[in-house]
Parts: sequence; structure tokens; C-alpha cells
Amino acid sequence: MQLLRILADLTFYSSNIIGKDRTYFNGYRPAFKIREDMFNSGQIEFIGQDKTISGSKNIKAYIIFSHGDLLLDFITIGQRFTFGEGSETLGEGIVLNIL
Amino acid sequence: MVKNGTLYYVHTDNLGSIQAITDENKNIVSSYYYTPWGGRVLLSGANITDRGYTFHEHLEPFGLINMNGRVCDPVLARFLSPDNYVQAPDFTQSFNRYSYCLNNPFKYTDPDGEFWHIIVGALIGGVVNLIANWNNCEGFWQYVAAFGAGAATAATGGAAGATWVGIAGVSAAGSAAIMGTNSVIAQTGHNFSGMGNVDWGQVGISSAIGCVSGFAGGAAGYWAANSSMLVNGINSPILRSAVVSPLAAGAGHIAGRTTANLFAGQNLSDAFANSFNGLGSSMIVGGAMGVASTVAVNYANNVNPWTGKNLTQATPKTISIYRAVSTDEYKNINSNGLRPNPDGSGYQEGKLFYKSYQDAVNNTSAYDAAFGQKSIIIKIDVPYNISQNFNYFHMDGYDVIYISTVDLPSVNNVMTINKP
Repeated sequence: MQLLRILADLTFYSSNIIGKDRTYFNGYRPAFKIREDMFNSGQIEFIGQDKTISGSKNIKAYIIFSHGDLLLDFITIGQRFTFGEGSETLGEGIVLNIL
Repeated sequence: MVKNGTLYYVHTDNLGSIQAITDENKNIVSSYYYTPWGGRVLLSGANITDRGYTFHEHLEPFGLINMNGRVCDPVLARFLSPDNYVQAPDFTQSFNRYSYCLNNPFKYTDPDGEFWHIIVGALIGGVVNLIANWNNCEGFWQYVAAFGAGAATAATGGAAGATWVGIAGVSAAGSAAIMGTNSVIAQTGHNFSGMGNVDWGQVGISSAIGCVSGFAGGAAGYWAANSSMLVNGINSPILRSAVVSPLAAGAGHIAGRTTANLFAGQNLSDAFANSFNGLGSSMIVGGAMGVASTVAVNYANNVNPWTGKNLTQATPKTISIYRAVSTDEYKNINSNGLRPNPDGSGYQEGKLFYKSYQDAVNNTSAYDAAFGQKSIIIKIDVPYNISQNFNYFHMDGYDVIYISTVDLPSVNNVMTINKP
């Protein structure tokens, strides 16, 4: 297991899309869809804030992937991705930097 | 028979052997006697032909009989070369590859040293009870009875062998019997005009064509049963077989019938053009044999022939899933069940589980080492029907299960929690 840390710009879908209002705390760990063939678990650490709510845009955050070795060959700067829980997609983002 | 400008009449016995030759004035020119295995003895007169035993050509200088496909020695009662075919796999004499007519020369003949009248022999043995009852039946039921026998043959062979050669071979034998039977049915009619009027040569040809088309149908059926390829997107092996087998059987029929017509002296274009006679029944029979062999092969391989899916032993009553939790969450689950947000809003709402205990152990131990924490792995047993609502996907290289907040209450009502 090799951790991978990236800087990303995140958009959390509004309640119109996901059906309800939600709050996301520091340490929120959804499933990221970066590879086509699997999800990857990543923990979100917000920069300059400890939580955000659905509908927020341009949220800068670090994402720490627990299995970075599975992503190294698939992730590039500028790449778009989505994240969510199970079959629900809760937001999307852009990779700003790979740290 | 015309010899040196003179017309002679040939008189044969029930096997087709020449007993006597007479001229236009009814005088016996020559008469013959045959040993049981075909040795020709000139009883009287002059030897004016080399034809004799079952109308085959005698090679007098060598004491042999030329049966076209092979050469037979009437003293040894054996062919000089082995038979390429096993005509009746359930009859041990068939496996004696040098014997003549299943070692029964009074009953059967072998017009070409190969096989097809021997199939007629097998046909007589196998379906004689059917024939005996024909005048009591209508055509449809004759057909059904004949097909039933052939299909049972294919199914038995499929269950026992399940190799494509075995399946196709048994299909070939079954189809040969069916087509031969049908030929007899067609010739005797509903009112059973008697076996004496049956042209066994036609029966033999029908059998041979049935053999070829059945072989093709059986092979196609086996292919349909086992192939992972899709036929126009059809997943059901039976439907695939129903599509492919009649086509293969039809191709086999045309090939077989054309060959038979060529043997009968037609030129190639006529032989091909005439080969379409009876194509429909060959396709039906071949298709049925193909489907029968598909069913047999599928059940032999423990596959549902309608859906192509594996036959499972039984649906499990419960499934076990695994999750790594902190000590606090473990206490919480024990007292309150799985709750959407044990810490209020802000974290994952549903719950992630591993499909296998080993996956949970492997990933959790790495996690704990990386993040400096200590987790407990819990196992919960969930009724199978409820587990069908969960999300199954692949995450971080593991098969995981996500139970959404909607499903958590139904799980809480029925789950049992243990530490594995």
C-alpha cells in the first residue's frame, strides 16, 4: 500500500442533483472514479476550512489515496474525475497537482 | 446383361448374388453356388461374368471380392483393410474393423465395402418394433416415435461422452436411424404396404444423408453448447443451437445428398441441383439432434441450457460480508446497529463492506499500519434476498459491497454481527 497525495479543485453537486442537502467534513472518504476499471478510496482534506456543503464549487483540497500504486499510471495533471458513494455520484473535480 | 451382342437375364437370390444366368430362350447359361462368405463356385455352364456374390466383382485370379470401398477375402471371411467407421457403437461386432457385415452374411449385405447398408442392418435391429406398429399409427406419431429414439440416443451419448466427436458421432448414428426410418415410412405409407416393397437402397442413402446432417447438427449443437461466442447476440445455448444446427444439418444434407447422387451416376450440376430434395426434413432432424446434443452437453457440464448460466446447487440463505471498524464504531453498532451517520452528518452515509474475510484482513492491516490505527473486523450475515439490493463494485483492487442509507434499516432488522 502506497499513499498518493494530490491537489484538486472539487465541485460538490447541489441538492437539486443529489436529492438532499449534505455536509462534508474534513476526512470525508468517498470513492473516486479515476481509473475506468475500479474505484479508488481517497480521503479529502480541505484547505483553509474544515467542512463544506453540497452545491459548493472551486473547493481546493488535498486528496490522499490509500492505494496510490494503483493510480500512478492512470492519473495526470488536468485530468477530470468524479467521486461518490456506491452508485451515487456526489461531485467532480480536476487534478491540479500530483504531490 | 448384354455380352458379345447377346442379351442375358440375371437371376439373383435375396442377397443379390447371381444364382443363374439365362439367355433369351430361357436356357440356363451358367449357375452358381456361393460359400457363406462369398466364395463363388460355378455349378454349370460357362463363366461369362466376373459379377457374383451380392453382385460384387470377383477377382478370380486372387480369390478375392472387390467391394469397391474395400476388398474382401471369402476364405478368411475378412476384409483386407479396416473399416473407417464404427456403425453401431452399442454393438460389439461394430468394433471388429475387418469383419464383413457384422459377421452376419446371411442377413446383411455390404454393397460398397463401407457402411451404409450395415446401418440399414442396425436400423432393422433397432426400430423393428416401430415398424411393426406403423399401421396402427398416424404419420405424425411415427415421426415422434422415431425422433424420440434418436433423441434419446443423442442424449445418452451426450451425458456419457461430452466430447464433440462423441456427441456428433452419436447424433450421426441417431440421425441415420431417423432418416432411414422416415424413408421406410415414406415408402410403406400409412397403411403399411409391407416390408417387401421397401427399397433398402433408398433407405441406405437416406440413412447416410441423415448421418452426415446429424453429424453436422450434433457438432454444431456441441459448439453452441460450449462456445462463448454469441450468435447474433443470443445467449441461450438452446436458441443458439436451434439457429445453427439446422443450417449445419442442411449443409450436411446437401453435401451428403450430392455425394450420393454422384455415386448414383449423376453429373455434378444435376447431383447438386437434386440434392435439395428432402432438405427440410434433414434440417428438422439435424436441428433436433443439435438441440438434443446441446441440452445433453449443457447438463453434463452443469449449465442451464436455456440461460447458459451455471446451475447452482442451491441459493444460499445468507451471505457473509466483512467490515473494518474502530473500537468505538464496534460498540456503537452492537448497541444501535448500523447507522447512517454515527458522528452526525459529514462522512460517508452508507457502509462499505468486503466480500471476503481475507480481503478485509489484508487491506485493513495495511491501512492500520499506514494510518497508525487499530481496527476490528466484523462479520455480518445478511439474508440473500436483501443482499441483492446492495451495490457491488471494485475498489482499490478489492471486491467491495456498498450498503446505502436506504438499505441500512432493512439490514439492521435481520443481520447478525460477529467477530470472525
